[in-house]
Amino acid sequence: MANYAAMNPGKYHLGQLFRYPPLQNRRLNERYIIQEVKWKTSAMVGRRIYIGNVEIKDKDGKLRTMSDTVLKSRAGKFDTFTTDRLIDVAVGDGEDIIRLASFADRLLQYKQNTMYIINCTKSLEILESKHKFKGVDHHNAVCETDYGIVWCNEHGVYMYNGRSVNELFITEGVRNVSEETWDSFYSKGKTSVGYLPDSKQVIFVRGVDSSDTDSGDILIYDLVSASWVKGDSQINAEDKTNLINDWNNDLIYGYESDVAKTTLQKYSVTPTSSIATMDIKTKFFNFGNQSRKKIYKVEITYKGGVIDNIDYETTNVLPQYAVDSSNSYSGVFRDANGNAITNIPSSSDWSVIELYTSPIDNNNVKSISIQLTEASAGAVRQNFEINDITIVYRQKSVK
Amino acid sequence: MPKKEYRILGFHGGLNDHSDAKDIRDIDLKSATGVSVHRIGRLVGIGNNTNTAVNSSEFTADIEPGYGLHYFSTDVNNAETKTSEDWLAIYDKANTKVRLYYRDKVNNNASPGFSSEEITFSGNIKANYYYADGMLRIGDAGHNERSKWFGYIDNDLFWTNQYGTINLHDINKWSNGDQRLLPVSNLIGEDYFNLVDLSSANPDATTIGDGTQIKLILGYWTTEGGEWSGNYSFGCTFIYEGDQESALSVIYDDALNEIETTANFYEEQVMFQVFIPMGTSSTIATDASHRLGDDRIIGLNWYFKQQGEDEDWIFLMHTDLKEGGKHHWKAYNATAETSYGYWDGEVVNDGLKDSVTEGVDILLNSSTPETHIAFWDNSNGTNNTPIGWKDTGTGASTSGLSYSNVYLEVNLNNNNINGFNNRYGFLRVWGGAISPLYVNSALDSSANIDEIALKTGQDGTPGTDWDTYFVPMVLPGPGTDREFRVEVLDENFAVIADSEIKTMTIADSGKEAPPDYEQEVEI
Repeated sequence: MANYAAMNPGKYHLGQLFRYPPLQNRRLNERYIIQEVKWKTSAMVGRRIYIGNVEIKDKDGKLRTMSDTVLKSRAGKFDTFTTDRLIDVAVGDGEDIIRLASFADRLLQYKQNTMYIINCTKSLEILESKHKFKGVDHHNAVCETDYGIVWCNEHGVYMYNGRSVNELFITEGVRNVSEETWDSFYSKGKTSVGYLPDSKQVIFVRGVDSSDTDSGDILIYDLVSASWVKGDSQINAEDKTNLINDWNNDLIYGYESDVAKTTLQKYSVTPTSSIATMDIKTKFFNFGNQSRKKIYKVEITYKGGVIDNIDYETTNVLPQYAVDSSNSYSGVFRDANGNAITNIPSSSDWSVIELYTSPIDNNNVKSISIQLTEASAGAVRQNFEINDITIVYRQKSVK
Repeated sequence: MPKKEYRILGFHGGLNDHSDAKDIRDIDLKSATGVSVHRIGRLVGIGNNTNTAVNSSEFTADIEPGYGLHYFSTDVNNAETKTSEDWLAIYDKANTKVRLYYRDKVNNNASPGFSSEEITFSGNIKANYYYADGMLRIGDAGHNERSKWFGYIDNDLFWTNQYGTINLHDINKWSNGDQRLLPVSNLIGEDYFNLVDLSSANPDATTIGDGTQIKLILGYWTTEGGEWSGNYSFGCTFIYEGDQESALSVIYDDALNEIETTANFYEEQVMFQVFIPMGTSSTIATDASHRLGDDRIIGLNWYFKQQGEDEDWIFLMHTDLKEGGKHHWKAYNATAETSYGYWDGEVVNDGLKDSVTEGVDILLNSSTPETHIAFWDNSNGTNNTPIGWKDTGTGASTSGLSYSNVYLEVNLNNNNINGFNNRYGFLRVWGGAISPLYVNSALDSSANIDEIALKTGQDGTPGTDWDTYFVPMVLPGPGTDREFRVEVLDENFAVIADSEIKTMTIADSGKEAPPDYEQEVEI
């Protein structure tokens, strides 16, 4: 057997000729070389990849953990990192880089407490702004959307839209989600953020593992209407992966459906199963003043309870009301015959149900709030919808 | 007071439980649990998880909570067809590997499933991903395990023709490995990274090896007349996909003590040739492992350093593992071809050409004095009457006349017939009015224009018969012992044979020197 080799130049005894040593050629600079790098987070800006919170083996083979450092690749060279292309915006501050994200030509660097916006439009990155109390404690607490970057921490929810950082709990100058609500929802290190591109919603999912008692609860922020809603146990409570968008732009995740078994799940904006926990409470309507009124009835235009041509006869929605800013929604709606309404009947098309207030508490009322919640019969039919609510009242004269 | 109706038509304010419930907007809700307000004017049920995701049946994968899932698309599908494909990378903690679910996009999900490709780690990781230019990178957020890559390698390595339609090694497959760009010393080891002097022979079978050991060999040889002087060391970097360069590895005699292998030159030209062992076959099986240890390697950058002169490594040359430059690549048989390509011009005395040592003869014949160089009036080796170029003055019957147009007869003989098939070089003629004169073709003895074949005996017995060329040139200006010389150059203009200097007196013909076309420019 013969031993073969690939030979270049590909002719026998034909060499690459050098009449003189090419001293004018470039010199190899190995001063900044990194033999190996491990990274905790990454983001791409243009044709460069930025990796953050790194451990490197330098040219001398020495391991260096650089938890405050971002390394930048050369353009188009996504595995090449050198120590002369690092970004240290804040070193020795007791914080580590948790997550990098990019939007347009800005790089967002998240530490536990602080977030930095870095302008990458020039060859040298410029620290554009520093935002205290806007860091994150987990890499899943950040999500990239087509409107900007959304993230959350124990203090709230924020969005960077390329120009400014906005708090999403504040709409038109007014905070809408209370601190108590957020505190009870947010689980440090275990709250993930995902994006629903079709409905332009950002979803916050509590609990990445099953040890969290409220794992699977969600909060949803609608980017179009700038509004929030909640959901209890709408997502699997088991151990979950991070949230991603797949090729259909669907939001998906994997959850541990059995021991060492994973099932991929999609989040559907339109509910596909009944809703175990529903709690809709309107504002306390005082119709413009705090004087006394008599509330006669409430009319709700709704539909639901007929699913796939099966009429379940009920929607499993219990209507109730409270008056005068009471937290007790003990008011019982009755039909025209005076019977208590405990479950709104099903309707395949829009229909109006008249809900009469009780004479006991419908007089001399300053304000009223209507609650719709799951009936004792079971979870709310998933196709239950409300179109409008009408309150019939009479203003009482001042005595 | 009459009854009034108060209509609430919108709910898109959503949850507002921060302000007093009577002071919020009508479209706000004091509580909004289990409901969605994204459709203006309606309250609908909130969404939920559904098992209509990409694969509703469960599969083997243990979840590292909060990590492990990533979507990416490639231009090649799982079956290695050039159609785009969508993928999900899913980390399996129990088996410390990333599994790859492909969509089967081209068949509209007819047969989606998991690829046989898996990226295995030696320990548990917190998987992070980024994807760029067709390659997925997987990092461990815990900094415990090495980062890895996964991607489709589409490399036709070692072209043997200019279009790459024939090459020695095709790698067209899904592949993965460590993300780091390992240098030669890590992938090959210093003991198998060698500098070999090829002055007298190509590398032998022992040097090349049987391919079980990855090796990289830089061969060199010299000819006189260059500017390389001193002791030189050499090193190499790998070029990975994306034109990414590894660290430098130096060729050592003793790697442990970092004693570099050096080559000593004195006013010489240096030629370099690269050898990468293939194994015991003249081709490499398709999709076999890369012969340098990483499927991403597509080139080599060579560096040199003069000992005692410079601490910096200076770029010498690039070796492209694909096209391989102008002369591409060739499968070299180290067992049988060590002498191939070496010009053997040593001429046994055949009664005609005994004065020739390197197989390049420009004399009229061996019995004439050296000053009698084979110039002719005509391209067929004849002279006019009177002879046009020759001075007929007293005692100068063998001297030429200045600036005469002549044909120089050059006879070539290369005894080695191996390694020169279809190889054509150049003649470099020194001594004429224009000097040096480079010739890549000339009239032969049959008045045909031929390229300068390095395998001589084209019209007779190769290796035995001489080839004759008539090179048109102009004699130089007058002078005593004007020097003439013809060198044979290979395809890269390296000298492989030399007639040595022959002299002739050139008398003044009265002709003016050819005009100098350098123009003075008035500013």
